Amino acid sequence: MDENYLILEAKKGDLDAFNHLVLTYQSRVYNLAYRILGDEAAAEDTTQTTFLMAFQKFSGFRGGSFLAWILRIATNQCYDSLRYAKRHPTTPLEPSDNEDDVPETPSWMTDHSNQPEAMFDQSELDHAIQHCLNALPIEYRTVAVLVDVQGMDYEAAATVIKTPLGTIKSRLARARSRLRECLSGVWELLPNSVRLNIEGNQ
Amino acid sequence: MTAYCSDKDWLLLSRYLVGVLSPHQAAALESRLTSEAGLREALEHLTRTRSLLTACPEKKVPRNFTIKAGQTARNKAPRLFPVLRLATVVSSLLFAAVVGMRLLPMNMVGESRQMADITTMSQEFPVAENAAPPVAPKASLPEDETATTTPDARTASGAGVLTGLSPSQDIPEEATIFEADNITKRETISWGKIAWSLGIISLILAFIAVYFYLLERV
Repeated sequence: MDENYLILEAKKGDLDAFNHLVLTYQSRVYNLAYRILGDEAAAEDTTQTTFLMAFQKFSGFRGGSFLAWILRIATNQCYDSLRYAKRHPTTPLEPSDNEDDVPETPSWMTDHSNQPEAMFDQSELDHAIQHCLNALPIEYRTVAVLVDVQGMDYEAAATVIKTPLGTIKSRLARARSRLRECLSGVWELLPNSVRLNIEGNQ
Repeated sequence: MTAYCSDKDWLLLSRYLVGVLSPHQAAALESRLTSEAGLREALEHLTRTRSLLTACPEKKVPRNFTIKAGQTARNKAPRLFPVLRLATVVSSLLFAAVVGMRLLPMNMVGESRQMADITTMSQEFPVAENAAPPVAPKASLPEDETATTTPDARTASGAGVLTGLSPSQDIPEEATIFEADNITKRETISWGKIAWSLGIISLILAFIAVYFYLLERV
């Protein structure tokens, strides 16, 4: 269905039309939230809140890219979520052994994989990237996710986070520089097949 | 495997990587790349980093995030926040007005005017030793105003003591001086009453705001 038509109908309050838009963009929003927050449950909550807020404030959408608009709401929701988490820190439940002591190598950290070539599959790569992204300051992380992970151009990223283009460029350069340091070890550990696959996609 | 570059070089390489450099800048950078091994290495690392990020697998959404009619209805329902907000804003403004009025405008104007009067009088009539207590000022005050004299006003009437005139001297323009004092007192009293009224309204609104806030929380 035509997106412009759906947007017009959703603006009139048509929930079905809006839900069509939700189905189209939910993956982008969820992935953005996940990469910024680094937590699946928080990303899920943020995505739901984003779409709910978008529907309630649809009159504020003045045209242009719907994706940029919805990602802006999602980014702001992520910032709110991170601020909330900062104000209300939680203590993770550390798994312990039967004697209530945390062992030096807990069982949950043990790698049960017996195949060296399978050690660095997509899932591990995903975790490694997320680990490096989490180490970035939030403003750098957002830009890196929008441009490098989500594949947006500078202008679109600037629209999403309402930041001047020059700031986007400098933040991205710094983010890449820091990610390079963090990910340099990851590249060395990648199996040749994965390396070739990545290089082939460039 | 470490490539050291300045921030400016990282910025250039980063933009070169996505092809947004101008042809002139790109040509300049390419010529540097042929001669500088460190820069070449940095570009290689940056390319890998970007490749890794681009290859980052997309997470599958755990469920659909479509919205149900009930969700929007519940969240769109008007609540008490507008009342709360309005009461808070009005009480804050009134509070600011009260504080402003008590601290800044009329009292300061009144005081500066009194100070000017005092200075003028003390220049014209130097303070005499063993000055007699002034009788005229109290006599000239209306009874109802002496009861409500504010500290400022008392200071104003005390000015007569500072500038105490010797009995042998005539009191020039006496009426004019104390008339000015009375005007200042009246201004102080009327502004004071307004400030008190606003303060009470502000307090009531603040109580309403707190009441609605607690109601909302419960």
